[in-house]
Amino acid sequence: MAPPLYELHGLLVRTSLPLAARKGPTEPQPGDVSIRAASEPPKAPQGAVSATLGATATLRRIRHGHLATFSGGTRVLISEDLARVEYWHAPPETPAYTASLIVGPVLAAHADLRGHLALHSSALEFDGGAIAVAGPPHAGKSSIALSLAMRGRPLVTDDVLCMTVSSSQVVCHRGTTILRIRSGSRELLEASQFGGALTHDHRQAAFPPITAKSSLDVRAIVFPHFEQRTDAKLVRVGNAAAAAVLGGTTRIRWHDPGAAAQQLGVVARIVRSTPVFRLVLPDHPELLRAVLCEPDLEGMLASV
Amino acid sequence: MNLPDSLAISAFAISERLSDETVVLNLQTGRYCGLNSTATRFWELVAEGASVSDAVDRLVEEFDVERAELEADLGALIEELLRLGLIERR
Repeated sequence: MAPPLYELHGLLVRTSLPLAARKGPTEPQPGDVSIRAASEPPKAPQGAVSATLGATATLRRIRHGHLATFSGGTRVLISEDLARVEYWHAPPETPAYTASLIVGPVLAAHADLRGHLALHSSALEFDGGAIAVAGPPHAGKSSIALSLAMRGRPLVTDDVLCMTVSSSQVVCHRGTTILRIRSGSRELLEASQFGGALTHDHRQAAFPPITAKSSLDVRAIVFPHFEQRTDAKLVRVGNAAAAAVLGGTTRIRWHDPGAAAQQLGVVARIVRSTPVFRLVLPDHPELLRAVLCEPDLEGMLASV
Repeated sequence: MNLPDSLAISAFAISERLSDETVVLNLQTGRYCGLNSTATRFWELVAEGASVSDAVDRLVEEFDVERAELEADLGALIEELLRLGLIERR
């Protein structure tokens, strides 16, 4: 029996790995990408690093594709035509942990290799479009996404947002179906009734209903910013500043000059067609929790 | 205001124009910097090989700004671009 298909980051992914993503169609078809375990580890990486995938992984161009190497020893090979991914998980890493790497950095690299863009971002559906909540780790993306999901806004993705960018349109794709919530937002999670298991990185998993469309126009991108205040406000960011902050939020940092220039071009196209805002929030935890529990934030974002 | 005589764009800097603004990336560090319209024009002049004093003359002509104010702003900009490794002294 063939492994199941998942709809993830704009791809139909066929794999037996337990991906936290919505299942795809059941009728026979090959899918866009096949992911399977390698019988032996890919050869040790050599040569220059072409990109870094977050703090602990690198990507190298090799003879027949691209090799991602993670700090724990796990190696993932992406074929030249991007249709096949082979992983070898180094003990004691588990297949479930490898699955989280696939959903995150590996398919983010795959998106960039396709000429798309992967951001550190959550996203919610607002009236058929998407609002992305972007920012570096610990920026509060998942907690904001959880508060919006509690107001009935469908979750599009958490942590990795893949975008397809044309000259006039920015489309994002549904990603993972779980929110990973840090301990500071546990009260919010308990109020949400979406709570569930502990994640591999010791966060709490939240499982909001999976009702978002698979692909949506991006209406706006917001970056959380914390300062001394009691309420929330949105501040529109100019194009160059928006591109700078967006560029700093990409999942993949290319060292290869050609790929970096291509990524910068994609970032520029996004800010030309999509408004970018700073979402200014209280920096005091109790005031922040109050803002996240009130309906005003959701109404403010719905109006952009 | 003591401005350097001459500057060059770093070999590790790549840039993208956004209307009258520019975003610049340092390939070595992965750091980005957004330039407003005056900074963008200064960046262009440096890229064309203009000396800093020539660039100041051109910016005073092209923008409605006092020389002293412009030199103070450029001093801060140059310091920031040097810190980010986006330009070098020549």
